This record gives sequence, C-alpha cells and structure tokens, in this order.
Amino acid sequence: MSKILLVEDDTLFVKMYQKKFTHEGLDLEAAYDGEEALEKVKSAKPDLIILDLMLPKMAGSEVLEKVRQNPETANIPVIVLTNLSSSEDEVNRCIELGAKETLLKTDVTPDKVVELVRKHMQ
Amino acid sequence: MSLVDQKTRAKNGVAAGSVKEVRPSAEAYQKAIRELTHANLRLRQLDKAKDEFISIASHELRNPMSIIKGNISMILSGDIGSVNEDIRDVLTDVQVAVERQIRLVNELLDISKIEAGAMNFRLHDHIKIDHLAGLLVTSIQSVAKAQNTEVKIKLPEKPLPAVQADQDKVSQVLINLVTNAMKFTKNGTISIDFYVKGDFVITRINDTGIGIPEKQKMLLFKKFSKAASSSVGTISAGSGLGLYISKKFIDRQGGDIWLEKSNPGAGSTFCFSLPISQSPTAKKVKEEISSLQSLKGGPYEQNIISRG
Repeated sequence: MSKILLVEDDTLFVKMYQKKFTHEGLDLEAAYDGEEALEKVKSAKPDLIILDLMLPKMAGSEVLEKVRQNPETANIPVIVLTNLSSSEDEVNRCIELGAKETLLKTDVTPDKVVELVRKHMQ
Repeated sequence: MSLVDQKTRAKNGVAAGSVKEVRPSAEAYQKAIRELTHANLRLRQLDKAKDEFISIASHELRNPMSIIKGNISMILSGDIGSVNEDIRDVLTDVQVAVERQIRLVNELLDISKIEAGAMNFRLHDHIKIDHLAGLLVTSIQSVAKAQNTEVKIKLPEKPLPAVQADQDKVSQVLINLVTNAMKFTKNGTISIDFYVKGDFVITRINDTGIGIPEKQKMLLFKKFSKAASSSVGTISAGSGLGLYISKKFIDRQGGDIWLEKSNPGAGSTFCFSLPISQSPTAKKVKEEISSLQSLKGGPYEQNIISRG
C-alpha cells in the first residue's frame, strides 16, 4: 500500500486528513514538527510527503531542503499545503526545491488533495 | 488691507491692524521638532504593529477555516455517510458562509501586504488576457446559469498581444470585476471584450445589471466602499475591498482601472489597462515607489514563518 507522510502541527487538520485518506484506501502517517518529519521520512520511506510550512522546531522549507540533500529521499514527491500564499518567499523557496504543488489550505478540499496525491505518486 | 482680510481677521477674533508677528525661540523650535520626530516614530511603530496583527490574525484564521471547509466538503460528498436533504441544505449554507469568510481574510491579508509595501509582483509573466478571461468564464457558467445571466467573451479579430504582468494578480482582478458584475445582474448579460490602445491592452467588462448610483461612483475604488443595494442570486454582497485591491494591483503593474459608464437600471462598464511590455523606465519608477513603500513596513512576515 502506498504510504503518505503528512507533516502538520494542527491535530484537527491531521484527523480530517486521516479520515479522508482511510476512506480512499490510502495509508497516512503524521509528523507534528519539522524534526519528527525528518525522522519519519528516513524510517518510513513515504511515497509522497504533504508538507506544511509554518512548523514547530524547523521551518517546512528547511525540512524540504534536507529531504532533497539525502540521496535516499531526494526523489520523494512533495506537495506543500500551507497558509502562506503563493507570493511568499517561503513558498517560492519550495518551488525552487522542486515541490510538485504549493497549495493554500483554504483554496482546496480534501478531495482535491487526494486527486493531486494520486497524480504525483504515479 | 482689503475688506475681505479685515472680515477674516475679525471672524478669527483678531482686530484689524493689531496683529503682531510672533517668532518662536530657537529652543521652542528644537523642542517642537523633537516632539514631532517622536510622534512620527510612534505612529510608524503603531502602523507596523497593525500590519503585523492583521497578518498573524489572517494566517491563524486560515487553519480553522480550512478545517471547517474540508470537513463540510467530506460530509457533503458522502465520505462520512449518507446525508439527508435537510442537513445538506443547512451545510450548503455553512459552506457558502465559510467561503465568504475565506475571501474576506484573503482580502484583508492582501491589503495589509499592499499597505506595508510587502506584496510581491512577478512582472515578467507574458499573459494572454483573453485566454485568462476565457478560463474564468468557463468556470463560472453554472453559477451564471442559476441566476439566468449569460456571460460571454468577444474575441478580437486580430490576435491580442500578450501583456507583461503577474498572472495571479490579473486573474484576481478579473474575478473581482466579473463576480461584481454578477452580483448586480440578474436575467441579463455580462460581456467581456478587449482592444489595444497604444502600448496597452484594455479589458472591458460590461453588464446589463442595476447600475451604480451617482453618489456611489466617487467612492468605488475606496476601501470598504459598498453598493447599498442587496445582492442578486447566490453571490453575497462583498466586503467592499475587491475594487480597492484591484486598483492597487493594476496601478502597481503600470496600468489603470476605471468605470467607463454606469447608469441606474442600465448596467455598468468597467475597464482596466495593462502594458504590453514593462519598459525600463516604467519598471524603474515602480521599483522606486516600492522601495519607498517598504520603508514604511518592512518584511513583517519573517517572524511568523520562524515561529514555533
């Protein structure tokens, strides 16, 4: 089964996505801060990462940078799901680091996120 | 002394011919300067605090709103279980309300950024504005149909030159103008056309709606200005920020936005222009303006990103 890692510090947000992904037959694991995210990327080897940017302990763009630096994880597709709009430097930094999508949380529904996850896991 | 002068002085309680010029001492002058400098600094600090507050509040509002929006959409699409019609009806209202709130927060955040000079524009995009408008028109057909309004595009005979502007910002202006037109047009027509004038492409949005009262026209592009009349169809009355933001976006990209004509009962026509190329001079002027603006605010969002 495909495994997806959701990096997100809001537990209600995580709960919502766990419900949605289970319903869609997808396996979702959560990491609640930047450091935990890096540990889980190494140990769980997810097929895709959904990444928030405003995180405790380490900014999302730094997480992405470190994921890209490690040859074992460098090619994992990443979808950024954030409250920062597309004109922010932090978001542009993630585009430069090869994020497949940068989505504003209030612009998308879980349906749309699942659709994009499926698209980028192929 | 003229009669008018005498009258004015008399009105101000000063008898004609008895005015003595009072020069402030150097010391008082210095003190006044110190006080003004201090007051100015304090005002700048307050202004910055206000911008930071709006920015943080807006970001912190987005998370719960996205959770409300997401959960409602999951219930409505049947992910959680079957939903009866009454519940569906209520949740659809909640959905409309949360979308309204999301739009308001987006607009407040845009304004706080514009006013702090922290809004980035990517002016190197080459945009086919008729294509962009075409995408928008396709996406709103079902809403337009529901209020029996036809939305159409008149394409120019010759291919339109691309404009050099920020695609996201131009889309937002188009959305603002077209949804505004829809708010006030029921059983009518909204048509979009384009023409070239000098170094600019003009986009024109014409509707057959209720029009704008004369006294409202002066206030159109001001912050929080709203037409008093109620909304039409499913699109709610807005925050009164859309045209203000549109104007700021278009100004910043070297264009202009204006109301061409509007008469109560006979519809409105809004236009905006965008330059075919951002000439070096125009760009330089814009950069100077933006550097002046950034003196006011500074990169106020850094602290949010690094926040724990």
